[in-house]
Amino acid sequence: MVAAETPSPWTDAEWAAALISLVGEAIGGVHLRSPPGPVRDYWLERVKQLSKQNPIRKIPANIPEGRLLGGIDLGATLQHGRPIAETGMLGECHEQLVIAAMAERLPRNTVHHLCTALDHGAISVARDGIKTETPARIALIATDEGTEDESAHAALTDRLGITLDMTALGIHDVDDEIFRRRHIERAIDALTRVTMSDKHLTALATLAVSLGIDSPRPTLAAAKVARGSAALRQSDAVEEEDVARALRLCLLPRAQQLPEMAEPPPEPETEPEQTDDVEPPPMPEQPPPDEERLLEAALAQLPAGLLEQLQARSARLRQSSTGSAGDQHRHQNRGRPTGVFRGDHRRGGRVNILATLRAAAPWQPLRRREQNEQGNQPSPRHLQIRRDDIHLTRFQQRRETLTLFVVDASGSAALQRLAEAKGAVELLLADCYVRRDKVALIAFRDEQAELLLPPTRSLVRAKKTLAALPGGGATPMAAALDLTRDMAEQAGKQGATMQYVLLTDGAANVARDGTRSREAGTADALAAARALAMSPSSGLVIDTAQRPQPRARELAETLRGTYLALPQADAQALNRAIRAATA
Amino acid sequence: MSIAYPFTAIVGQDDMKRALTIAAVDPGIGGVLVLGERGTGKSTTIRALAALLPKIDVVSSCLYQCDPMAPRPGLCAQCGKPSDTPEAKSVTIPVVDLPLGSTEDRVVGALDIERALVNGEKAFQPGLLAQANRGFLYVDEVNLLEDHIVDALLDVAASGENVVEREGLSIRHPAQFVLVGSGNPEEGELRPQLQDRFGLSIDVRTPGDVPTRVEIIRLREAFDQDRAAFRKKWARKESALRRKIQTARQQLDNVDTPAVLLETAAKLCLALGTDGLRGELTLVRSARALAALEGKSAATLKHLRAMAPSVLRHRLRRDPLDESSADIRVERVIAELFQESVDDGGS
Repeated sequence: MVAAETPSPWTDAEWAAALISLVGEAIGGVHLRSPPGPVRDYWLERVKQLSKQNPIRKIPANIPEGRLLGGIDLGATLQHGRPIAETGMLGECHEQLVIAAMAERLPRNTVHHLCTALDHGAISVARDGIKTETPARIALIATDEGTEDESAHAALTDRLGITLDMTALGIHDVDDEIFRRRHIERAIDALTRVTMSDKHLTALATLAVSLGIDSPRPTLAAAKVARGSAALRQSDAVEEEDVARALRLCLLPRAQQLPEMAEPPPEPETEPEQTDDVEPPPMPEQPPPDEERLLEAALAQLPAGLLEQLQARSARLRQSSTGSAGDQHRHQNRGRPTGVFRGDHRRGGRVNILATLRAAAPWQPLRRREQNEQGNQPSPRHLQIRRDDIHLTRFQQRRETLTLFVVDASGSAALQRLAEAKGAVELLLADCYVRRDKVALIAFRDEQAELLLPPTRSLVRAKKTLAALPGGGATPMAAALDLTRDMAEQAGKQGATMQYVLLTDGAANVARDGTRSREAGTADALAAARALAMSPSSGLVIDTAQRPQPRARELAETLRGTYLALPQADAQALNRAIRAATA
Repeated sequence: MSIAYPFTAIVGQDDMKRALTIAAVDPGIGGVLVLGERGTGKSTTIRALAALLPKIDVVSSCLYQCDPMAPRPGLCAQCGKPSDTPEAKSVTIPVVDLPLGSTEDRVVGALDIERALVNGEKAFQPGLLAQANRGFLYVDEVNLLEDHIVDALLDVAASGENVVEREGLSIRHPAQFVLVGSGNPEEGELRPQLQDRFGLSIDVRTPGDVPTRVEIIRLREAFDQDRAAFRKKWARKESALRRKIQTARQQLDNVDTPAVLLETAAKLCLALGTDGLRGELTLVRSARALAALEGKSAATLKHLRAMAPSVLRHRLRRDPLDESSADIRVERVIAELFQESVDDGGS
């Protein structure tokens, strides 16, 4: 028998390899978190053996949109004198397993197209004079080499049924093979017969809710994985063991919260005995003991320190949901087309066929005559297009602006002033919205400065983060300015310009090494300010002190930024002042 | 084309389903914006709508689905010519997908490359906007659409006409479509100008209760196991709703609009400080469409009340930070006003 009694980490991986081969298209695929290495290679090798698909095509992270979707085949088009479509990679991989390499680096558009293929089993293409719908039913293995703070885009991972984390697995963990290809083939037949009782389906749905998984997709995938698991065991009915496996592979890795199991809710157990019932019995709203037992068993099999992992993961998920990785690329092919220019298409860029044709047209009689003189018989129906004719479209992309708010939340920046500062920041956020800026938020108090909100366009998130900002404690000004400088340099590397708005009373009292001292704190703050002044950024200092103090003004001068005192007025008045200063 | 999930088999999400049905009854409402998290069935629902829509009569030789019964002005150049009654055919209302990554030439139309290459002649190849005329244009992840495509859309959506002046072509053709956009607001804001174009705006959420979720999964599994059989099972419900939409489309012009409705719409917009008249117009139109859908001969305040949140949610004075409380603001004003006007109506 193929089932294992106590699953080692590798056992789950082995089952995942079998399941992707069996129900891959139905569940979308596998989100494989693992650094590159022999364990991952071995697992992919197992998938190859079990799915009997060799080689598995790989979509590179930097694949151009045209190649992914297809479009016009320029060479063939020019040669044959009529538009010839080229199937993109997604179309070529129809009914196959595909690997998306470095999924954490995929640009947003690529993610979108993969999601479309996973959702609809087809992609529609409307580009370069071609409009087609191509079947593209794929199962995707997204290999994700992201470290703690980056991960594949949530829109994609939501559609990949199984999540497999091999980060902690070493080559010694690799166990014996459980499955052979014939197991899969037998399971394909068995799959249609497998039934799943309402009890088990409800268990999965309840577990998903108690783990804080909002999207229904993972639960749907879990149900399919449970059926697949039963089929692999050559069983006609889903058993608890299958549900537990689905829970481990599909739901637990996505948990956003630990289920509350301390107080079992009193709920009359309505145990549906029959599996082929006509009328589904009323579903209990609270988890009956069955689910808890399953969950407890599943949790017990997980490594220690789960809570920390969950916390780290949910923080990461929150951050990565904006998919900042893709935005960093400067595209030669994106933005507003601002004209065409003659260029070599082999160096990248999008060929403008119309401009190319127009450039070639006047020369046709001449070129035909040339060819005739050389003794060739050119077809009058064929256009002769030479390299010089090729025109590319020029794109212009607006330079991105990042507005960074650096908010002093220390005790000295008295609490009611903090509230006013928050109000001002909110109004400034509205301005950023109009300009489509990205915003980020740093807050500093007590020991450290913290990037509360990494650059985002979601102002709703910015506002939420800001509203939840606590106040009180010492003023680590130097740390805040250092962090600001890091951000400015990062933004510069990504081709964006950064402006920052520093809201503080200027009373620094924590030095860089963490000691509390007004002198050292101020000296370090001014040193940090000088360094920040050298970075590619422009700044605005808003003095939040009850009475404007010279120290904040001095800080602004060192920063070579604009200084503004927060007047004894409302946030609106402040905002007017800021607009006047930044205009 | 893969088999779509039946519209009537979608569990919950009544707001979204109602808004889309209303837009199918009265395309003049101005589009539907659906915002929500992952896995709320946004795109499934909209694609399901395509399989549900009734048929319309079009001029058979027309590239733009012109209405054979419509008055001549406003039709395309060919159908606009005075001639005998053109030959008509019946087609399903088109739902055209505007995929992300589309190039501008395919959206607005451009030179027909094949004819340019083969015959060396200049001919216009209609784009997605032409295909969507009198139908729906669907943009998934509308907030990620490239700016220059958005510009093109805005221009056409405002005028109902697509004007192409490029590559030596000079073409204008009608392009009246219901713009349907969906997206996840966490991934970036929608440009305000584009947001304003939408008549109705819907916030979708995942149902949190277990029975509903189980139901979603049960139905989806049944669908995945045998799509054709599943559709067949729902065919009766589907055609019932299709007939309902069809009847409502025909009855729309006969629905009465009492003066109190206009007055309440104006008061509501005034109280919320929405800009422009579009809010009031859409309020009244959608109330009428809802009445038509319910087979009523007159729109009532009840209809207005039901549609008000979707119509007004995105029209509050631009305060992007108040996203979460927009609904609450709308609800509060509605509650105040309706208390009052329902009393007035009752006395």
